[in-house]
Amino acid sequence: MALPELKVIGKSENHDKVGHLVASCKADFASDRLPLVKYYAASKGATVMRGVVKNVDASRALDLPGVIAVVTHEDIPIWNEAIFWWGQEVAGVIAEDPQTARYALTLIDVEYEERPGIYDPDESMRDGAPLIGVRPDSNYAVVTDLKRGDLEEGMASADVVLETNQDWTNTFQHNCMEAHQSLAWWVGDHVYCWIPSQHVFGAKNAIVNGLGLPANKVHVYTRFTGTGHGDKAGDIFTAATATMSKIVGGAPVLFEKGRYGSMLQHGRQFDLKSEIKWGANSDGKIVAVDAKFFGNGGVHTWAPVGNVHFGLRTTYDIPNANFQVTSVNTNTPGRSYWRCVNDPPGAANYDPALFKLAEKLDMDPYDVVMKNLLPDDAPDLDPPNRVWGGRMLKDMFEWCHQASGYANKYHKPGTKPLDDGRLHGIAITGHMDSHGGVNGAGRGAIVTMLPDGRCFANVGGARGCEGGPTICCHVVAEALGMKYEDVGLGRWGDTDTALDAGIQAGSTFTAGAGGAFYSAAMDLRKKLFEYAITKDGFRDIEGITPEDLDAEDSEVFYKGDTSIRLTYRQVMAGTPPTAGSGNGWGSTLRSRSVGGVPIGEPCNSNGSACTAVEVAVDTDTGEVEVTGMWNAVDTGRTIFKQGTDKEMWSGIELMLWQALLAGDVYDPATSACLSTQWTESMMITPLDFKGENFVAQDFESDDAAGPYGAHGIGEPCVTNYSAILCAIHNATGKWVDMNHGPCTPDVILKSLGKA
Amino acid sequence: MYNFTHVNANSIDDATAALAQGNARAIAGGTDLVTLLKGMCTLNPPEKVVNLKTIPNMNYIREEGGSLKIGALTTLTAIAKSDVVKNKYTALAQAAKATASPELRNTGTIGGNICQKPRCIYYRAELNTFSCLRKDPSGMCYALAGINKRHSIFGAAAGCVDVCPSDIAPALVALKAKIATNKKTWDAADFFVVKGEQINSLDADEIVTEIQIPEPASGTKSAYVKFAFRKSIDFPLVSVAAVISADDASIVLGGVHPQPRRASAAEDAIKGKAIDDASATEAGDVATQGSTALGENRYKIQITKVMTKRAILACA
Repeated sequence: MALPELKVIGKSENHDKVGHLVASCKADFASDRLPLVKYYAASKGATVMRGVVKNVDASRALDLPGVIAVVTHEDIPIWNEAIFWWGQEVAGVIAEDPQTARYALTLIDVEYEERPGIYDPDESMRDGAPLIGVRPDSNYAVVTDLKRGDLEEGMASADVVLETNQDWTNTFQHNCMEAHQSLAWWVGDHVYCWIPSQHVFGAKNAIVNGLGLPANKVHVYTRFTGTGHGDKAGDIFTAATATMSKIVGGAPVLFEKGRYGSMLQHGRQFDLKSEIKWGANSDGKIVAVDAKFFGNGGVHTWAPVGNVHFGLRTTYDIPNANFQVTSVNTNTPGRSYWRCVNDPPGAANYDPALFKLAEKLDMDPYDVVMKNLLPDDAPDLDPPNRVWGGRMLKDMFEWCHQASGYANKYHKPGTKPLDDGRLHGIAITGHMDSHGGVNGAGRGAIVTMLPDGRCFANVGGARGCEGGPTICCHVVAEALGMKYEDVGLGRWGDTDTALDAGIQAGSTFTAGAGGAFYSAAMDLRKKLFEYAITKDGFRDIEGITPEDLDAEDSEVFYKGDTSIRLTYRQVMAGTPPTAGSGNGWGSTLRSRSVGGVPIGEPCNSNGSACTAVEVAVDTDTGEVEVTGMWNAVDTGRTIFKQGTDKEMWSGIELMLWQALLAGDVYDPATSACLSTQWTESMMITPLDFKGENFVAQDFESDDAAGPYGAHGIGEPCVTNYSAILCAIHNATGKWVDMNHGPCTPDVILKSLGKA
Repeated sequence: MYNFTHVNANSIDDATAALAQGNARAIAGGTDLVTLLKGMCTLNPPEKVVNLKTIPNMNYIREEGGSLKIGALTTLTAIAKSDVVKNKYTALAQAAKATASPELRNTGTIGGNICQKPRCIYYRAELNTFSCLRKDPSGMCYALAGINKRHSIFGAAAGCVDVCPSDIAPALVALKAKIATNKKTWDAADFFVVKGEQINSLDADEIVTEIQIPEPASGTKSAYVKFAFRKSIDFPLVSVAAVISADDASIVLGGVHPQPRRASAAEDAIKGKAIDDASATEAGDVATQGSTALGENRYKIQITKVMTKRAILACA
């Protein structure tokens, strides 16, 4: 869909407002405030997977010169004497330097009373398995159970019924460049904290609750985060730092977890398996699906596994269905938020299952997909049956098909050798994503215009990698009719001077905080136009009202005679700085009617993405080369063009990583996470792929709910690593068993019977 | 990170004296030692770190007296880029280029590469959370029944199933290199052993000073091929160094045993034969004679066969 061109939004020449600080090493992170720091803290993890701390002998550590204090669960309110996973914090050291703090950890002797623990989620679900301790009466719970139509009748009417099983997908930690750390100090009964957080106000709330303090006595700041990907959604551990600071009289304490602590104690993506039963007619029409998913939440009962079925539920037109998700717990580190969290592992389950159905039907999987795609203007099949504010899956699938040359490249699985002896494979997958929609309720924004006619936005979120504050500047400039360069950032990531803009996550900030800044800018615009009609040039126009004015290029003009203009600087002359404020909104049709549903009605709002992948598989070594990748992402409206392009490219990299390299390594006997170092975590770098024939393409569906039609894209653009798995199958004719880890060559050789 | 004192050595004698005082470690590029110290994964942390980089005249590549001589402080980047190494000692240039990442190759030295510590996931677990046999004689080899995807397919050495992590080591053994220290000159084939935390035979006060490689006979070709999950930066899961002339063949496997391992059967299979797909396949197939997979690493047997074949074909 070609959308009308806007003055500021979507312009490729618009640069990131603070990216230059990152590029010139001037970005300031939490631990860059070293001159403030007086003491350093480090923490020690448990060395049993389940048990109770019986005794902590810190005498040797306390004898070490430089050690100020040793803390345990008795001192830190968010720590616990009951141990549920290997690596859970049991003690900490406050010392004069970071080396001493960390070394002293090795001198603390912890005595445990061990209890039975479970590492394997299948074992955890076994009848009679011992309780792992995080739920009162079970190790698992059904968290989603949604029924549509008549499943039994649907299956009975099908020409073909196929039961498919996908084994566990990979679990992996985020490996943020900036590890978890926080700095805290007290002045009187006020606590001040610098932290790396994607949700600085969420972190503030965690500290307020963790310490039982009034909100006005908690001051939290985050200017930059060295990536988050969901791992820095709240950072409750700052409450521990604040407590440590209090123990040493309020002196500034820097608590650095490093790679080791971040890997052991913070969240990660969950591993997922499924049992999916299909009922289909011989022409490829799916008439029933019974989809059961099982997500391993580690010790987290709240692990966000409940929406893994979303893409399957909303992408396809299947009249009879049961979608069930079971959350399983184990004595392993908790699973939490990861970039896109539900959808990549969900798709890595239901897409291969769908391809197996296509194989059973002797059909091209693309044809099965297209035959069953829910029309873009159709309402949701499940109550309350809302339409989507913007959706263009069909166009994106067709673009992937055309751009990749799929029609001339597809072949039956395992049948096309290349000239060099490797096997060729190609696949296209895509889905409506559970992320990316408009979710601005509760988000706030302030925009201020200075007397010189320039404007700045105070953004209550950090500058992560995706340039959220820059997106806000685009929205403000567009709404106020200003030149992009006349809009800057005030303080951002500062809970003292900004409103809560919500979590700084790729799929939520654009449409959420963007909406709040739109509202704030429109509030300011109204005030400025009221000023303007009192100024020379406008005030002599008979009967003029603010509604008679408009603005562009930082000039306000009279709509009846566009030659009558004042710059914002002229409008602001003699006027003090003026602010506008506003809130974001939830998903409601705002800009246009959709499918006969009028403006003002609630709607669904989601991003979506499709990806085509072409691979060459070396069957001697199991190595996979991704030789082509076409990533189509529904942006709704592309706000920050450079940032969007970068997001889509990072999505490609992360899909490659998720499919081929990402995986935690756990010792099966102890459940110890062993992948605490870069060498074992196998982060992907630009040297790991050629990037030839890689294309990222934004599609604008004009979401009727979003500010200027925007979706968020940070999550949807990483969502289809299933395309890589399906392309590998198209090459080899075999499905891989990831067994909680990535699809590395050994896994492929195993599928080929060579290992 | 452990606390330690840092001493700059001005000469080999300086360094030797500092190391002889006990509980000291030498540092050159520092790419391995620093990670070990930061991770606090040794039971014998050094009280003193002796900097070798301040010793003059240990950074060179020159042909002299019928052999190639490389100073121990020569960076891997310099070796990978050296025309003489690339042309006559190709396997070594390729091994240097295959090591780590560009940044680490710019810093890491050839001496350091053959003195690095084990990479076993249990040995490297931070804060010494596993009593790995390599650092604690009363400990155990956790990899035997645990995570062993990257480990030996030719059994244990001194009870350990970790693999020699050096890319350079198999190339030096295949090229019949000698390794000169401040005490003696080792044959590369004897240099690499399992000795506590070390992958080599060095005494505590022994320092690698020079690598010496005899000039290959006319017509000799060599190659180093490496297999790793991650192409940008990784230790070898399997590597093969092959040096083949008209009447001789030296094939050494890396990443499959605690020491670089000569593939004698493969050498015999290819020696004196024309190199073609059939002969290389035959040699590759016998390269894994005597192998025994652990729980997770059967795939390495297949990979070793293929890499051996490819290394031989690269010498055609």
